[in-house]
Amino acid sequence: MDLDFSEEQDMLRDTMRKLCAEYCDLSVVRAMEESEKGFSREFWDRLFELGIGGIRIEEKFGGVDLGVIDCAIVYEEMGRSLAPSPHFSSAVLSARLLSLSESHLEWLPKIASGEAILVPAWQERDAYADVSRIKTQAIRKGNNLILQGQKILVPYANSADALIVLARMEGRLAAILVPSEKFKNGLRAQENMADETLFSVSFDSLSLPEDESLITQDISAQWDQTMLEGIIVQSALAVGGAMRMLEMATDYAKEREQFGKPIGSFQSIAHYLADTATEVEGVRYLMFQAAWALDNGLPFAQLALMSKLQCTAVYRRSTATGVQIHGGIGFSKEADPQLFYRRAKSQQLLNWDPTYLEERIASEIFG
Amino acid sequence: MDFRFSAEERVFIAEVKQFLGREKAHPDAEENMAPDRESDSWFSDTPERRAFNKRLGEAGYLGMSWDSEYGGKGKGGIYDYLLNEELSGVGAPLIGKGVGCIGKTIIAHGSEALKKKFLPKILNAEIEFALGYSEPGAGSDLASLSLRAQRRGDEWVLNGQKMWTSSAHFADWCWVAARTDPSAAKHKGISVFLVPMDHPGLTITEIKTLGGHRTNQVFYDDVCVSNDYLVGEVNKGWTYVCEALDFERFTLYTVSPLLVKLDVLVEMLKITKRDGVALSQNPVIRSRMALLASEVETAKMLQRRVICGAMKNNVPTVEAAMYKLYSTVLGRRMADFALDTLGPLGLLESQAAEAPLNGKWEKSYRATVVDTIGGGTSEIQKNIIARRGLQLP
Repeated sequence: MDLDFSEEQDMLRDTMRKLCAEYCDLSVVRAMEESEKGFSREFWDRLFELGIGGIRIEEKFGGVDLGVIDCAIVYEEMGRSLAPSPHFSSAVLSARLLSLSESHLEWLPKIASGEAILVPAWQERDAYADVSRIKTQAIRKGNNLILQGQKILVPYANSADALIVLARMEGRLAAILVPSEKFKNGLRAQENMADETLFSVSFDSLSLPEDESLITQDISAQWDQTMLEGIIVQSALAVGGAMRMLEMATDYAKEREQFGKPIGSFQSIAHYLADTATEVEGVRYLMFQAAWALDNGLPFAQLALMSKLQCTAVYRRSTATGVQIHGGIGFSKEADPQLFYRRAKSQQLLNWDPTYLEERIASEIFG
Repeated sequence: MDFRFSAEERVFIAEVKQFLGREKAHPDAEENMAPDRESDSWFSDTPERRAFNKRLGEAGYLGMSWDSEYGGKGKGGIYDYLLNEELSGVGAPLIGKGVGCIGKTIIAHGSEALKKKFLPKILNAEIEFALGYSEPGAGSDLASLSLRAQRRGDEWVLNGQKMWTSSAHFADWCWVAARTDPSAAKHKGISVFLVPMDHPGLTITEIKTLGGHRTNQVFYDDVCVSNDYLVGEVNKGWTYVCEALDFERFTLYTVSPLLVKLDVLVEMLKITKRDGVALSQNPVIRSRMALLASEVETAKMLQRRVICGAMKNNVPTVEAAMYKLYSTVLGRRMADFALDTLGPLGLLESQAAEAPLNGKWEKSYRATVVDTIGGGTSEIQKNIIARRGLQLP
């Protein structure tokens, strides 16, 4: 048993931390909240120049094909810095979906280089996580597919070169590639708590050539596999945010004085922080255990589900505590805790929410 | 990163499991393997349990981490931990304070005479020890203890009172922290002595506890012991007490009891019905159970951090505090949750014929209370994490 990181992994963390500090500090994050695009192109370009962008893409497609542990190290840093980008949607989820489906592989080198952005569109008003409830329909008509329906909470759809749309087709769940020129008119921004760049996308009898568009007629298994990997990466993002929040609150408790001494010398404050530090430490290794299991070909689904449930819950609690410890300044827009507070809740509910995770975990426990 | 035990360690675990498999067939198995005794199951407090520990010794499992010079095997502390993990999982007595903190402190600081007298007997499981630390006025603030030891010729005379000496009623020797220099700063006037429990100056009275475990208060009334039984140097006792705690960090908090209880709970929820429907089908119970199972896995991770720190020869003080803090309150919440799922029937004690699982959770609800208090309260753990871990003032 060895829960320490390798030298290479420590170097990867350092590289990523420097990259985030240089190209995506919190002032950039604030600017991105106001921008239509929602992410820094400079940060994006550097991420791919360093090769980190293609971290989960196979070498034959131009990626670097590192493990989920390495990817988690990268995402901890993105979580620490709140760096927004479509990397998760494109180079983690979409790349994996195409790779597992062995279809439209020509997109992979472009995703691995950061040149193309692909985004999965799956959620609907009546289907958040359980894709069997998806209502968007794809109907065969000659050599074409006619797409009808509405997707919601689609990240960075305005920057996407194409969407991977999950749709019902002849009783199964198909994945359909829709290029940007075909959905641009159906986009509507969805304002949200964390100022994430999210859109609803409507397809109104959209006609697409089947041979170019159909990724696979049955994506169910690949989708589940992709998301189970994805939620480990999302867990890492949450852990990074929680670690940063804990550091900020601890630093503040050391410098802020009331009643003539640093507030961190009061046990009411110190014990909040001790509880948070304990939870963060525990769920951090819960997440790495899931990543390790996946990297080593061991059963990992239950660990991944538990990890997403716990890491995002701990992130959320850490931000509630962090805001509280900052007192009045904690709820001001000017100070930074609010940035974390909003994102923590957002990350808890996006990409499989607790209600869904709990039911899947329970199903596994009770058989 | 590797979350598995090494191949050699896994072989050892399998070996211990085989040993315990054979023990299951022993006529005393029910007495010796009793997980429902909760943390009380750690003790060798009956003749049958002492015999069990003797068999552990004969199998070569006592003192594995001691140097061969002292009859040990010179193996890593991980093996003591792995053994305890298996023992605690089945509710068998653990390898104990003798092999652990007391033996190791004697090896590190004891005189040749003390080593000769105690170490071989510890390896043969001939001695049970009690720990005399807490006092009526010294709980979390242990260093303020006031039981007095005064030098008189070649002897020391001890007077005062100890609290929560859990093993006093069956132990052979007590490891006692006493004040030898009242004028020194509180950490610098403490010494450690070994006192035979059959000394006529000792009065042991039982304290009954909420969980049904026996603990004791021990009154010291002119208890004379030879200077030979002073451990190490005079007035260095606090260092030894702290070091001894560090020796135990590796082995003290196993995770198996929590994992085993979770399994028992899952099985119970599958077979227990309410209004004709299995509890495992109840959506509220399913949701709470998913969270609880995730928290148990998180506790396991914190425990793994402790042993990894210990294996790298660090003293994982903060990690151990985190694990104790997190796992003990989780154990209490698990019992509370289990009772909630059972409803009013959960209140029945083991003697009542209708008690579900023989009153396991009713007992657990009362017995786990001590876990967040004994061995350093949760509040003390939080102080350790805040000050040593986060460097708060």
